[in-house]
Amino acid sequence: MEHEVFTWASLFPFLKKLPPHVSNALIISAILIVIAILGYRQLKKREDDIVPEGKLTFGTFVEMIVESLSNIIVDTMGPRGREFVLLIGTLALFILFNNLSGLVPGFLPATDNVNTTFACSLTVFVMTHYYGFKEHGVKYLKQFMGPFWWLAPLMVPIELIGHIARPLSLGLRLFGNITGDHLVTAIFFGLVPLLVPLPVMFLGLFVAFVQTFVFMLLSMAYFSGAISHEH
Amino acid sequence: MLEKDGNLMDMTLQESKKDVVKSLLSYSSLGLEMGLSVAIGIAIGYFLDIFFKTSPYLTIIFMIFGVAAAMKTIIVLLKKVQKDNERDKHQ
Repeated sequence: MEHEVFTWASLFPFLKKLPPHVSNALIISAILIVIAILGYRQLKKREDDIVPEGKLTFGTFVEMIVESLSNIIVDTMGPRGREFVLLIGTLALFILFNNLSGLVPGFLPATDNVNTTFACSLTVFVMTHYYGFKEHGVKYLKQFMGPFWWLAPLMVPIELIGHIARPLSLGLRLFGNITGDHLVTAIFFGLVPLLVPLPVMFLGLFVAFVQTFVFMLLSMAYFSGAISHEH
Repeated sequence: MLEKDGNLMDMTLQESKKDVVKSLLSYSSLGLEMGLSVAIGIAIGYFLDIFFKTSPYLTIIFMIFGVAAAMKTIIVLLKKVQKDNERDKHQ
């Protein structure tokens, strides 16, 4: 494997020297930003319209994506979920587009590198505790102490281990699934390039959506655990 | 619900299907989290052992903490399921 593997990033001179997961994440982010700006402009243009457009245009498509995302979040977290739509929606779109980019030849998905997935999961980890402190103040630390104060020396390490396991499992799962899927597709492509990788690529499509949904679901569960007023 | 409420039944069926998928996905994370809890416990104990030169006591103690953390994950999930069931009954 001495020859250079073609990637779209190698077409840009300033992205050439970066490692592939960084350059691909940058390209995907740029695509997402362009979609967001175009969608925002279209929505702004018909902000005052009362009757919605009948046919599917770019603007309505973006509106549909945002609405379904916020519906999922509010359904799972209750009315307070609106505060988290921005953070979880951003992560979900970034991960989804990165996962799907693995199916396009010439893209190495950024999520098949541990650094990217742990960046995402550590963001969730830090933000859960930020929201926890914002909601409860210093009393948030009481959540770590368990039901009775004399159980604290026992409960604190247990809780700490449990909390460290969360971002690790989030990042590891996403990384493992996307790497495995990408590798299997590549191996099948190397064996028989015609038609045989098709079912595997279909499976890859499924995995991309499911893993995004799992990431969303778990981060929502962690957020609602941090802001809940029980125990 | 009788046949005349077919539409309503369809809707509740769809809702419950959605819930099943959701809970399946969130329970599927349980295994990985349990395993990682034990691994993290052992890792913390191991490095503390090296630091304090008390091998192997802290490794064993923190392994037990890790197992307890794994069990706590299940207990928390069970409580959540119970609460969801009760809420569904009231509706």
